[in-house]
Amino acid sequence: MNRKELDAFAAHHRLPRTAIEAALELANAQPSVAERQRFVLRALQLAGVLSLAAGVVFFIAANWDALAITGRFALVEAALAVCVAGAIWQPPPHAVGRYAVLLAFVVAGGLLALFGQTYQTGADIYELFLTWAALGLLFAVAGQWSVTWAAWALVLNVALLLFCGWRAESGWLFSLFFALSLRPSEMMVLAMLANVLLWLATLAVQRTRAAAQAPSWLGRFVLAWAVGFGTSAGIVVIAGADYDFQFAASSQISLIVSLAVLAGIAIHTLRKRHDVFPLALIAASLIALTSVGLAEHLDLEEMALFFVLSVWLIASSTASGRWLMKTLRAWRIEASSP
Amino acid sequence: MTQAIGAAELTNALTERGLLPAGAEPPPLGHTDRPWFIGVVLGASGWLAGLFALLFVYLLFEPESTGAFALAGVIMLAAAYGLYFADRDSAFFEQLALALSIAGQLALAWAAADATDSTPATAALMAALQLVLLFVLPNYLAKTLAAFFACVAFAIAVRYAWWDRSVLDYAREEVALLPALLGWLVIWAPLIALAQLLIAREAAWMASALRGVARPALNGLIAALAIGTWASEPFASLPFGVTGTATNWLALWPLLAVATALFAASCAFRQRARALLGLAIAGALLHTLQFYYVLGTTLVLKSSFMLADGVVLLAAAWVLRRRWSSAPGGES
Repeated sequence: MNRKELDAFAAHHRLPRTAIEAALELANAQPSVAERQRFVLRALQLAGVLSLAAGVVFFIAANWDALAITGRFALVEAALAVCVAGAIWQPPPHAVGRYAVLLAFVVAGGLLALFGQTYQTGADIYELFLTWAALGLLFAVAGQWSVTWAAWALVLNVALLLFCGWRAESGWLFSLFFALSLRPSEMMVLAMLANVLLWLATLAVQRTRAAAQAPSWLGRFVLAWAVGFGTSAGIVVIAGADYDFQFAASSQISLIVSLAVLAGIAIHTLRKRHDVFPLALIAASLIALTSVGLAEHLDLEEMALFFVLSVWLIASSTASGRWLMKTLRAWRIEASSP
Repeated sequence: MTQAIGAAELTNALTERGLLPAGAEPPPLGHTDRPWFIGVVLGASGWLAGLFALLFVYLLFEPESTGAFALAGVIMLAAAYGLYFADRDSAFFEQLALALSIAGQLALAWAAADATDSTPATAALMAALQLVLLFVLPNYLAKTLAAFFACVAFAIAVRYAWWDRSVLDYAREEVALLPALLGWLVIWAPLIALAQLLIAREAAWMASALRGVARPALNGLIAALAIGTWASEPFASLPFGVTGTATNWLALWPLLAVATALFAASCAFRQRARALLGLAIAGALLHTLQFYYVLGTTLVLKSSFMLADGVVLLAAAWVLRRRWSSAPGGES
């Protein structure tokens, strides 16, 4: 029972304070002393490691003139070596090893940035993140920890976002897509597919002994990126903003593929009957796509268009909310029945 | 964080302990089991719908004076209030009411800005309005949003009342360390204390009619402590075109906001609210990013702060681990 349900429970029975204290205890609504201590320790350790990582990145970005180039590289590489040594001393899944690998992952990104900054490689900013994700994959595997995987997925998606959103015009990924003559919306669809594959990978890992490395929140995280890229691709097509002048005819393939992938995710989720989160993402995506479609294709003057959009948003979100809740309750009843 | 116990089991358990009379029935299922992500879909759609509704009203009636904007705002808020009461079980009316409520609030904000021509005065009026809405609106999501925006408006009011400058002023401010720390404490310390008090006295207010206000107020407070702190320095993350080299210790605020977000995380953990816990973690990371971008001091100094923070936090974890593992029944 969540807090809202407990509030409703207390109101329904008009419970006095003593009974509410008992109800909170029975519902396990308040963490025990041991749970709190574990939380505090983990929060302090993670915040400490991430503070150190941020400190290193800030230091590199400061472009400190007092240090020679060799000195700067030596400092960052020494930090990386210390992290790797820590991970070897107490390998993951030991906490020291996990934190050391996470820190090494961040410092590796700093080292790449320092390289680009020092030698002015001319690389596009997305290349930094993409190379970081490619090299960091080793750390993610070695870390055996969902937090390191989440950090890796974040870096990868920042690279994809920068590539799709900022119209990169250099780097190997650009060369590949340029050779294939892909439009921005099609690149977004590929980014979507990459994240869908990651989501499927988390689902597969959840059925193995390494399930702790792919908790449900990690799957939701990459799925949210997937649906975000797919929705952006659809919006680009609907709004006619596929800014590639090499092609006279605008292809609708990105929209069709995005919708097909969303349908596939929905069918998979409806078959599994476990988590409605993917359906909520798809509902939000469809609300966004249809709203943009209405705005783009309805031949109305502004005032009428604003009215229609307002009513459509209310109606579509209401219908989505009702259907999602109905589905959620049905699945809960199924899960609780013997 | 999973709690397998349901309403029926809890009713039975309390009956066995003699805290409920025999034959007591569990409450029927209502809107209380809505997960956070469905709330986000509904809330975001309601917000966008409210924005379009406001634009529609603006084009339809073409209000030009402060009074006309205020009147439009009051009418839309009154309509929202009526809809919330008209049918509390209708999701459509709930969404329509949310959209009208947001459109009304935006219209009143416009009117307040037009009437006062002052950032802190407008923010203070909006904070007062949000407090009224927190107590008056009969809807959980609307109350939670009101609590969140009350905190944000309060933060903006104090920030700009203390250091009043145009948000379009590109000359870098010069703020000394002590006033910067005091300013942050004046804004956020009372809100931290209030969140702590509400959690400590949870069972007491759950037993009274206050629960209808206290629960959304607590959730709005936690959300504000997690990410609302960004609003107290809204334009500091966009330093494009800022000139000057004056030292501005307001640059420390994002770092302090990281600490506030960690406190929010601990509150969310104690409430077993996973969505708020996630929001607080995201808030802490975003504030670290903001700390990188704000101007006011050098990156080398910021780097030193972060490294020192890291060492202190890890040392604290080490000390606490030793202390708790040596205590009977403690963390091992």
